[in-house]
Order: sequence, then structure tokens, then C-alpha cells
Amino acid sequence: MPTEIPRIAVELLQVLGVLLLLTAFAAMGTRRVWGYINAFAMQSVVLATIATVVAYFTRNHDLYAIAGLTLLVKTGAITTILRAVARRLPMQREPRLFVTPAVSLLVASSLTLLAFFASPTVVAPGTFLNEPPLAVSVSLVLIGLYLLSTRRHALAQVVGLLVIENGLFSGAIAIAYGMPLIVELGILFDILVAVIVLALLMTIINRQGVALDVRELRRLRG
Amino acid sequence: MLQLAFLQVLQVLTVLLLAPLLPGFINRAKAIVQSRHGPSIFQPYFDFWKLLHKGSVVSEHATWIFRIAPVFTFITPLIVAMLIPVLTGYPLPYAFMGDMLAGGFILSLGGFFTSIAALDTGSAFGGMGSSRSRVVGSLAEPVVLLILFVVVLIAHATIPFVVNETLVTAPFLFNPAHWLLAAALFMVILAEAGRIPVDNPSSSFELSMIESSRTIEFSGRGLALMEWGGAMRFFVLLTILLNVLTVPWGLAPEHSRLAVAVPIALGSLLLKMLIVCLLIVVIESTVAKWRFFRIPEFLGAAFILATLAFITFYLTQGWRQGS
Repeated sequence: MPTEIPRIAVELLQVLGVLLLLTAFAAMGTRRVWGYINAFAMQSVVLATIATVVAYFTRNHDLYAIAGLTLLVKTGAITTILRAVARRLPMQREPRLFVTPAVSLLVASSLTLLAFFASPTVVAPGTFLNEPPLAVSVSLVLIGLYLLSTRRHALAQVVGLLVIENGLFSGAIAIAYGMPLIVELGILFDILVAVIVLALLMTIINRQGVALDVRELRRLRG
Repeated sequence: MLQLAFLQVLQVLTVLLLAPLLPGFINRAKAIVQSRHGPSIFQPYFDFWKLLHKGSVVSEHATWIFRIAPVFTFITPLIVAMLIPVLTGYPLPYAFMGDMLAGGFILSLGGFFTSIAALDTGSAFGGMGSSRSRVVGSLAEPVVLLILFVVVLIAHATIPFVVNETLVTAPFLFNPAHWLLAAALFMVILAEAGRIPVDNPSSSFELSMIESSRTIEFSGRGLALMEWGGAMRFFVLLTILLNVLTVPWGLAPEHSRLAVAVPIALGSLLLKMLIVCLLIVVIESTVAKWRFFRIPEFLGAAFILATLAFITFYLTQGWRQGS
């Protein structure tokens, strides 16, 4: 692994890291189904760009493949599936939220602050990307969790899950320059299957005539 | 000395004479997007000329505040034009008269007089407009202050001529904090200038107006001064965004030949502004005006961007010093 990383790489990654955060904020600040999907699609594009940049500067050629696969699976397949489902949903936006998007954004920014102050103690110093990229991925995970716990639309839950996964993915790049190709392949395939299953589930729930509000999906019946 | 005085006057004249071009350009470009022919880019000049030659009708209940307000609205952007780098990259004699905080206060003095003049005649729409614009203003203010604090944190100065030099040096040019600040300021400018997600400048429906309902009682010369002042305010705000915060390239350097440097400075300023105006046209053609009660969300997003700028600046700098 090369030790000398040019300054331009560090700056480029900082900019991309902030873009990654911004897309998470975009998911946080919306109430519409399309907003969630677009934010996720953009986030995956930024993620693929980060993987490409890291691949170029560390000469880790597996990462190019991973970037391509991210683009193909996340921005391509998963976004298309989510769009196809969203088009048929009668509920195009969040029902009344307990936390308005404006307050959510403030909470998300304090979560980011938390991640930025907590992550330097987590990671061993000396890794090339070091703390800020890791802090970005930790805050993505936290924002994803927050999205999962406060949003009521079923599709928002899926996007929250995907944001957490994106956070973990970028964390893997930040600490270990990406996981082995075979592991990434497995994870991407897992997510794809999960999204397909969740999309089917949403379609079925929708066909049953039940609202897609997760608060009303509590009772389990055989 | 004579040269400096000439430049100082030229800066003010630039703001005075070029400001009406921006609304004219935006209106024309929007018309083209909507596949209409649209008015000429120079239409605001014709409008102001016509209005300046008309008498004005003043309510008999209006006091002196109503008469004096257009003058304040008209003059305050011109004073701020002396403090900021419109054409030159080096400070002119009056540049140290006040810093960016002073500029903000002077601009809001104009806004204050517009608001109380709207209340002065006691018309319902004027009162509504000024109360709404105060709400927007009070939401925009923390964002502006946070932006200013981060700028001071980065540049260790509040004089615009120092700030723009520092921000384009290598460690800060591609620092994400810098561009987040620019984005936050752009959103604040949209709100302050009454552009689309916050207010629809071309609306003719009084109940939904914010900015234009404050000038609804004015006519003739007063209206011309009010609208011209508004255009200059927009011009000054864009100059701060472009020449102080983001891309201060093309400004006339010190000890340069005026005949070459000034046209370049003027041309580059206009080019940059037209690009931003095109961006505004795109926004106004694709986004609908938001409900009034969603404006806190819009400015909240700007606040988040500024906070994020603060976090990233603090951490990237600390990180660089540590390694």
C-alpha cells in the first residue's frame, strides 16, 4: 500500500465526503417518496466516485470493479426497482411526521457532530484516509438509523437501510481501502435480493389495501 | 490618488447602472424557457425611465417616513458598493470604512425603512408584506451570522478584500467548507431577494406576495427608486457571493493599466453574474414557490449547510495540523 498520498487526493476525498453527507441530508429533509429515491441514487453515484478515486490513488484495481458494480446495482437496479414500486403506491408522501424535516435536519447535523467527535477515538491513527472519511461513514450510519426510526413510510424504511449500508461501505473504503471483491459481490447481491423482497412486500401490502404506514403494520397474522 | 478616486466612483456607478440588467436578463431568459418571446433585457431601464417621469400618488395618511423610505432603499446598496470588491482586487480608500458586518447592517437598514414605510400607510397588504418579510429576515439572519463566523474563522478577517484573497489560496479553495458556505449564502440570497422557493417576484396575487407587497403603495418616482434599489441590493448580494466568497477572478490588480484592467473586471463580473442568473432561471422554471410555513425548512437547510461548513472546516484543519 503506498504511503505517500498526494494532497489532491485528500482534498478530492474531502469534497466527495461532504457530498456524501449532503445526499444523506437530502434524504433527511424530504417527505416525498421520489425525494428518498433520488437522494439514494445520488448517494450511490458519489460512493462509486469515491471508490474510483481511492482505486486510482492506491492502485487497488479491485476497487474499480467494485465502483462499477455499485453503479450497476445501486444506482441502476435498486433505484429502478424502487421507482417501479413507488410509481404504483397510492401514498406518495409521508403521512404526518412526529418530527418535521426541519427539526430532523437539525438532529441529523448534531448526529454528524457526534460522529465527527467520536470517530477519531475509534480508528487507529495512521491509515491513509484517516478520521474525516470514517466520521462521514459513521454519520451516514447514524442518519440511516434515525431515518429508520422516525419515518413512517415503508419505502423510507428501505432507504434508511440502504443509507446505513452505504455508510458501512464507505467506512470499509476509509479504513481498509475496500473489502475483498468477493465479499463486496456477496454484499451487493444480498442488498439486491433484500430490496427485491422488500419491494415485493410493499406491492403485496399495497394490494391488500393496507396503508404503507409502518405504524399500522404491527399486528402479525398468519 | 486620482486613479483611486476614479475607481471608487466607477464601482458605485457600476452597481447603479448595471443592476437593472439582472432582473431584465432573468425575465427574458425565463420567458424563453416558457417559449414566449419576452420583454427586452433592457426593459427595467425603460420602466425606471418612465416611472421617474411620472408624478407619484401619496396617501394623505402617509407621514414623512413614506417619502424618505425610497431614498434609503436606493442609497444603502450604493454605500455597501464602496465596501466590497466590485471591480478592484485591492482595497480602495473607502474600503476600510466598514467590514462585512457593517455591510450587512447597512443593507438591512434599507430593508427596515421599506418595512416601516409599508406599515406607514396602514394598508393591509403592506402590513402583511412587512410582517412576512421580517419573518424571512429573522430566519435568514442566523444563517448569515453563522456564514460570517465561519468566514472569519477561515480568513481571520472581516474586511472583504482580505477575505477574498485568503479564500482562493490553495488550502481553502477546494476545502468543502468554502463551497458549503457559498451554497448557504446562495440560498440566503434567494430568500432575501425574494426569488422563487421563498417568494414569487412575478406574482400578481397580493395575498401571496412578500417583497412586492411592501412596495404596493408606491408609485411614480418612489416606485422607481424602490425597484431600482431592490435590483441594486440583488446586484450587491451577488457581488458578495461571487467576488468575496467564491470566484474573485478577473478583478483589476494593483498597478495595472486601467484601460485594460477595468473592462476585464467589468466583463468577468457580468459573465459570472449572468451564469448565476441562469442558475436562478433554472431554479425558477423547475421549482414551485413553497408554502409560507415551509420557508423555515428552506432556511433551515441553509443553516445546516453553514453548520456542516463549520464542522468540516474545524475537523479538516485539525486533522491537517495533527498529521
